[in-house]
Amino acid sequence: MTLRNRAAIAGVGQTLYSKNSGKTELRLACEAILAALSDAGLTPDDVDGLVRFDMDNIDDTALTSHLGFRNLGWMSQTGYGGTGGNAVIAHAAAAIAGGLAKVVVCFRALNERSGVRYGQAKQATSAGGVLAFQNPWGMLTPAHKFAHFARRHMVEFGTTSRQFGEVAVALRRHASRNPLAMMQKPISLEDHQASRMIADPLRLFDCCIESDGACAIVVTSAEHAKDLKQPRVLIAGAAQGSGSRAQGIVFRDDLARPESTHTAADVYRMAGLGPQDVDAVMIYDHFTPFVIMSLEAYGFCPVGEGGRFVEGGRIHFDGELPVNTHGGNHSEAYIHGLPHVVEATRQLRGTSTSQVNNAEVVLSCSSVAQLSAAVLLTKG
Amino acid sequence: MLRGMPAPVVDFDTQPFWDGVASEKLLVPHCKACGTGRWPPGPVCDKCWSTETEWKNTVGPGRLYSWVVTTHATHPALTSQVPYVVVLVEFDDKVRILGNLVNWDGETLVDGQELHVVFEEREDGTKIYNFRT
Repeated sequence: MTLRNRAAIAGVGQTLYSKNSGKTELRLACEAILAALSDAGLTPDDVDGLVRFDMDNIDDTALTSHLGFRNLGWMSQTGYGGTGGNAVIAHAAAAIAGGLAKVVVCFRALNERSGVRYGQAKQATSAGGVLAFQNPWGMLTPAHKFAHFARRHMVEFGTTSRQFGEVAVALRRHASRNPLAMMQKPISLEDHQASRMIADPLRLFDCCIESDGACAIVVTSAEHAKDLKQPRVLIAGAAQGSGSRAQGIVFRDDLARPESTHTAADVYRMAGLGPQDVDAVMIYDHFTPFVIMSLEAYGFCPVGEGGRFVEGGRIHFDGELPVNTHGGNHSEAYIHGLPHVVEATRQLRGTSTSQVNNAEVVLSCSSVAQLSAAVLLTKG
Repeated sequence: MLRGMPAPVVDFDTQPFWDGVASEKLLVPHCKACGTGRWPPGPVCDKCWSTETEWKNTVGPGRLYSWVVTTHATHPALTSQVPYVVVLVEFDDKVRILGNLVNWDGETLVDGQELHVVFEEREDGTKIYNFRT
């Protein structure tokens, strides 16, 4: 039994992305979900399944209270953090293939810039569990943790800050062409090198932005999607993975080598496709080095060669392997990776603002350091 | 020693370790059944799943595995304390422990260089471990 081509993305929607939405997260969630349903030609009455991020502040009951969802039956949630962007799609596809639901809404809503900022430390007086062995020494934010992975990649493979910069320049160029993007001013490699250090080796322009906004995706059966408003986008493969010590991640055995190789193998096997078939990749880019490490994990280049791989414009939308043609977490908006699936859908519908010629297979994948998840999408 | 940081919470799984720190010892948990060292301290060996633990005094020196120099303060208490260095230090049993490099003076750090364990007092009078070159 396989999920291959059993389910399809039928609708996508998002709010405006901003530094201060002036709206509740509940309002943002409702707006994004209504936009995605409208995109598909559906209404909340058609929805019988819902998948949320376990970190979302909006729960199922809030949505039923405000959107109706009179036919809602199946509900699920997934973690962790940025892996959710692809994991929610995997859950939705599984529910549809298993007959648990017919129309599933996936969403993520957060006022992460005007509300609780991930880039600022919580002012806690104590730290328990694994944090007892990290926080007292000032390892408090995601940049502090993920910089260790960047360091080891540099130490073991000679990867350079300029190569991280190549990623930043590409992502910003894509954002400069995307009217939804929060950061539209192009940057050069020199701008990247001149940007201030945050947690050496990570510079400001290696870090993603913080955003307010929401995003939603409607998944239904491949058959049903045929009859809906938009060209369908098939879910050819979906996978999630963990690896050991997904909690105290800096204590993993090997920080230079990606943990998501199992996820990569699973998603390719399910889809019957390989990296050579992929026309564009949407990578969870919380920090630029993870674009490099993900390219290695998902088989686009050997482990250790990702730094050289991203040089020379290869990952630009008009390059050999376009990456994050929306601008990513880095420059479009940080909605926990769900906009990556929206952009993958746009590419396969032919409606991206940095459209890749004849895009037929797009991989969306997330996180090589904590949990990982990936979906392979194809033109219906 | 960074000031104003959260205090480590001691629980049943970590009590022997923090008792060791109080007497200036780094007692790293090892599996009694298979000998594997583990970090951070936890209730079970993730290699053979035994719950029997032996607390071995680790004196070092260790070797530098990774280092991050934080220059941007993300907590009000850190504003006057940046830059500070967080290091991951590997010991002979492959266990890697995180701490601050207390005597960093801006020099370049090198993969594998030797670092020594030191003990310092927190504001609340409890002991904490760190590293020096």
